[in-house]
Amino acid sequence: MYTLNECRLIGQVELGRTKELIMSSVSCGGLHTRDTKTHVYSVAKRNNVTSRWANYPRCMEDEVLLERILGGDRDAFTDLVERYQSSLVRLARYYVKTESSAEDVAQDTWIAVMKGLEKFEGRSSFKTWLFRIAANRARKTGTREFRVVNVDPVDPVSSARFNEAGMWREAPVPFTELIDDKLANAEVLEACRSAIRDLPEPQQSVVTLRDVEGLSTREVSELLEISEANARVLLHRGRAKIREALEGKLKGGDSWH
Amino acid sequence: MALTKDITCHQAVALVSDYLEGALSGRDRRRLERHLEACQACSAYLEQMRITIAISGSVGPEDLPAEALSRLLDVFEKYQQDKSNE
Repeated sequence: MYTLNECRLIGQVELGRTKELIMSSVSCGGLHTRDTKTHVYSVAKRNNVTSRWANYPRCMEDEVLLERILGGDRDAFTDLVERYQSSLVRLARYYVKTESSAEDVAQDTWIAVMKGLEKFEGRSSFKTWLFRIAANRARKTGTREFRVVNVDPVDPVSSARFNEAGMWREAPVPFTELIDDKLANAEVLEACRSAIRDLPEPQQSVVTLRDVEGLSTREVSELLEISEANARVLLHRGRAKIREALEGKLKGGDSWH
Repeated sequence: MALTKDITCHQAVALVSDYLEGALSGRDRRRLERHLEACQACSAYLEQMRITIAISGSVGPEDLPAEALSRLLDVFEKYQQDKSNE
């Protein structure tokens, strides 16, 4: 029983099977489904992967970790913190002014989690519950107002790529034709990670919560206090920039415009 | 790179993310799908976007600085102690 992250790590970093995994995830409609998880796990198993990721307690679902944390298991707590801390800080940073105050919000969130864990009934997923606590705490601390979203006026796909008739000047090449297993998977992941880090707020928070964490657009809009339509606009722009960065990377060169 | 009578490639690209989110109106969805059927370039763009999303879903958490983790573990230990003292 691996978590999705572990499957990704086993599959991508250790096996170097970016293409197969990505294609299977695409055909399953994204990486956030149980079928994909099972599939990735079976790929890992087929390849006899035994890895550091298979060690206790890194192979547990959130809910299993929570049970153990209730029993005072320090390793389970460490695992959960490692899993969510960066996204929690990212979400807090959306509301508060400094990185250190975002870290304080994240710490308070973990304290609230410990205090509330016994009463957590699992009516929502743990992840949803966790991010809600963090958003509430950050709102109380924060002074920032993102309710009016400034939509970045830059065209997400440069107009220069289309002619006067609105047709592509140079057609995009499917990524599956560009992804080469020889290209280190870690490099592709790092290019993506860095493209996400380079996104301006609030795009960065929207992409992190929706595409990295796999929350629904509705959940994202509630956490960030923006409309779903706004969340989608921000998502569209953020994704377009990441796509461009990946295209640059996969074509072997710096991102181009 | 065929231009359909309905929308241009430039317009199609603007609809792709909402299409993947299932947020297009029936009319826009049909217009986009008609365009995609006729246009290889935009289909490639849609594929790129699906893969972009899949890769974003694979990046996993950033490394946690040891200092931050030890601070949180202290909090955890203290909470466990307080709980057992209750």
